[in-house]
Amino acid sequence: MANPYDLWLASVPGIGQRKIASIISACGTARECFYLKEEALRYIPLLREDDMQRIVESRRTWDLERQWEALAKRNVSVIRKGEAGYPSRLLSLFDAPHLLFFRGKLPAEEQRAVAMVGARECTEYGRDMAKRIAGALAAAGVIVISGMARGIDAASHAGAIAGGGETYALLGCGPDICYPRSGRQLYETLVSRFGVLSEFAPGTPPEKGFFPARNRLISALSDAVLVIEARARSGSLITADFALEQGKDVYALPGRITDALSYGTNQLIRQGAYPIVSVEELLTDLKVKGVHAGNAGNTKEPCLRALPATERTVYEALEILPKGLEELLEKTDLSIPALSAALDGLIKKHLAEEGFPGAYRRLY
Amino acid sequence: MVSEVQSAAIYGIDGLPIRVEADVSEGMPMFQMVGYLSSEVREARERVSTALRNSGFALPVKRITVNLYPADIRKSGTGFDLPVALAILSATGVIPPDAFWDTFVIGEVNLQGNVCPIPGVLPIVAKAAELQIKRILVPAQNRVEAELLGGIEVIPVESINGAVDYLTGDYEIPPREAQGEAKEASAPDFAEIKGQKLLKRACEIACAGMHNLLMIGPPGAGKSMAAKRLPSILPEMDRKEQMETSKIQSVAGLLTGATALSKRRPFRSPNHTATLQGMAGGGTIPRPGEISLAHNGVLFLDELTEFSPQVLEVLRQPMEDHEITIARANGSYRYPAKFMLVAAMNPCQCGYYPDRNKCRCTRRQLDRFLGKISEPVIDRMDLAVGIKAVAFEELSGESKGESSAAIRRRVEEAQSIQRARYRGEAFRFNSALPAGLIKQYVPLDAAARDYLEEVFFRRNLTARGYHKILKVARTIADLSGKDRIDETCLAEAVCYRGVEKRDWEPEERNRD
Ligand SMILES: [Zn+2]
Repeated sequence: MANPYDLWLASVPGIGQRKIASIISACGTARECFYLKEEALRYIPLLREDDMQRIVESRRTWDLERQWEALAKRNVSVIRKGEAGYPSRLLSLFDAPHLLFFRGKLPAEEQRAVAMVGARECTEYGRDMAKRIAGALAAAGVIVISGMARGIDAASHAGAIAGGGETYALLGCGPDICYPRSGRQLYETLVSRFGVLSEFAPGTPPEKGFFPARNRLISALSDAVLVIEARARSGSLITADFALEQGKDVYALPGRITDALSYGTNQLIRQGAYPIVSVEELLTDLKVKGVHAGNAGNTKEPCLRALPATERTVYEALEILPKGLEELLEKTDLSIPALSAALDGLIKKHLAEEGFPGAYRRLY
Repeated sequence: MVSEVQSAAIYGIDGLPIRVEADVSEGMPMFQMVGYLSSEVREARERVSTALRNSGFALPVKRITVNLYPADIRKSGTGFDLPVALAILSATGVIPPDAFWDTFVIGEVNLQGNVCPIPGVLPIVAKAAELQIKRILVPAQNRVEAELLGGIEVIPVESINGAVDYLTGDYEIPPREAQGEAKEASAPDFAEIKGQKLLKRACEIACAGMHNLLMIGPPGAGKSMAAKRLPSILPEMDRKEQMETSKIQSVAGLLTGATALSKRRPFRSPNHTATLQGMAGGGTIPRPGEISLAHNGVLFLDELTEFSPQVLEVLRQPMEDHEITIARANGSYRYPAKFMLVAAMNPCQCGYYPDRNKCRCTRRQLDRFLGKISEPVIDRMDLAVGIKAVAFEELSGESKGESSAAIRRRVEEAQSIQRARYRGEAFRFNSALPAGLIKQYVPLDAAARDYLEEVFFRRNLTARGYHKILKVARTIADLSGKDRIDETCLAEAVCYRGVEKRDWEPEERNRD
């Protein structure tokens, strides 16, 4: 069982999991460290002068009782490495969190889990695909793990919920903090029905440096990592790197080589990640049986042939990224009312959508 | 002896007759001016006494009192210098009093005694003509402007001495320099814009129904190029409109050099750094602002999001009342301000939203950008049109589009249909159609009604958006001479439907 000393150790500023692991191996328990003579701190590997000062300082000011009680008040549960129920998938990490904080519950060990990550400022295409893939995975009983960020993350969680499955978020801040704040509704759903997990003590605000660490947990908790959209040098690629280090399969959604948001994923494929070409094949690859796979790929083809001529012309001029009316006029050579009516027909048939007034994109 | 000279002041955009009286009497030598004067009128005392001395007239060592009448109107501007000087000369016997019968005098003088031009000559001349005054002495440099109207003898004067020579019968008016009916520089034409079919059509519809227009697109896509050409497809101004517009320009000091009243509607494009006063008008010497300079024409706000909310706030009242009231400590005055509002903006900071392939703006950046949009202004934009980014060379290439004259003919036709339809109503154009009368004036056929119902739900319209579509569809029908609104009109109107802030928030809109 985790105790108030463990909570203290997890809360000392500047002391990450590696240093905690080193302290635990040197002292045996957090309690030992709390009462260790100041001079003896020097003998703990990895600790620098300022780390020691911070430990000494926090020992002086830390209120063991009150802080421990605050956990319950914040509805935050905690589990210590080695304790029964601690996610075994994390144990392979050399820097597995000493304490794992969570609201809600932890993902079931025996269920398959897949991480889905990608850009915050994603395209409609990415958002859509994330939703559909997550929905299909969830419907097939796969847990979807992500990071609750806007864009791909949020779409993945939402897709999983819509698909009737389970989804968990790992945060780069304390599990009692909803970040981003705009994700309040999603956060509440996750907390009440599934779980929000973090290695950071409650009350820890998000920090830029926390997110790569968080990403290693996302991939560690999963059996495979799907990268939906990523620019060059994006955070999602870090998750993919962790996955490769941890020996997990990486899947990437291919895109056109002119699309900035597909550069990262195409690059992953080039480096050996599996391309996601259809949801069905993805489910087969993951060795799960799809219940209903949604429509990715050309499943709409037969219906296209039945379209009226103008609608077909317009559909062919549309792309997955939004196009303005002026551009469509040039491409189709239709009159303004004819183009408008055709677009309307396509929207009605769920073959196109208007993302922003005057900007249309095709679905499927 | 008391002398009297008739002059005029500018009040709003009209001339207001003012009598200048001068009394020269025995007593302690002094020169005083009374009659509710602003500081620049009071300063006339120094200018006039020096100018008179430098013109060879010594001020008598007597008590000189100048009064401007009626006393309850605050007089401002520098146009009283010349009448004051001439009134004093008349009171001292230099000019016979009967020389001023049926005569108006206006003009500023400098210290050498030369007469300098003043703003607002046209409204004063118009007022003089209206009062059946026979002649008016104006600064020589304002001669062309003063002669625009006709019906009154214009006496251009270069100096105090020149005025004295004329009034004492010793002067011949120089013939007007041959000015060879200077043609107005040819207006920019829509034929010069290549492609941009949707944009051009939106401009045509906006002009036909006098709808305000919002252009959304990346910088350099030709937004201001199109805006500048709007006056060329609006009907020419009638005589009354020409007078109004010219008077405003005159008061603002912008009419110098015009050789005829212009029929071309004004186009004003104030910079986003425009001040409140620059926009609304006012100042110590009151001048009309940009919104009045755009009266009967087009007010174009480029980079709408860069304008300060306070500056945009001044548009609100004039958009309802077609005039702006400027309240001042000593009473208020009004400038006409009936304009078509055209604004341009980027969809986001970088200009490419919602194309996430190019736009890297974060949610927060978008929110910050949207925060800058003035809701009252966007609400009044019946039409919004998305503009495609094009290279400038592409935009102004060789291939000729339809000429402005051809478009204007359709606009004129559509406007006359509206005039006939709204005879007896308080409004003239579809844009002003009140929501309560839409059902009556925008009859839909059955297919159109069904279509609209679907569009309403499918495109997630608000009530305001719904009404905008109907008003625009009315104009589209008028442009093609249709009485009832059919599906085609509606389908086209949907393409220009106005935007609202929530359109930028797809994530919050039944997604995720
Ligand atoms: Zn942008």
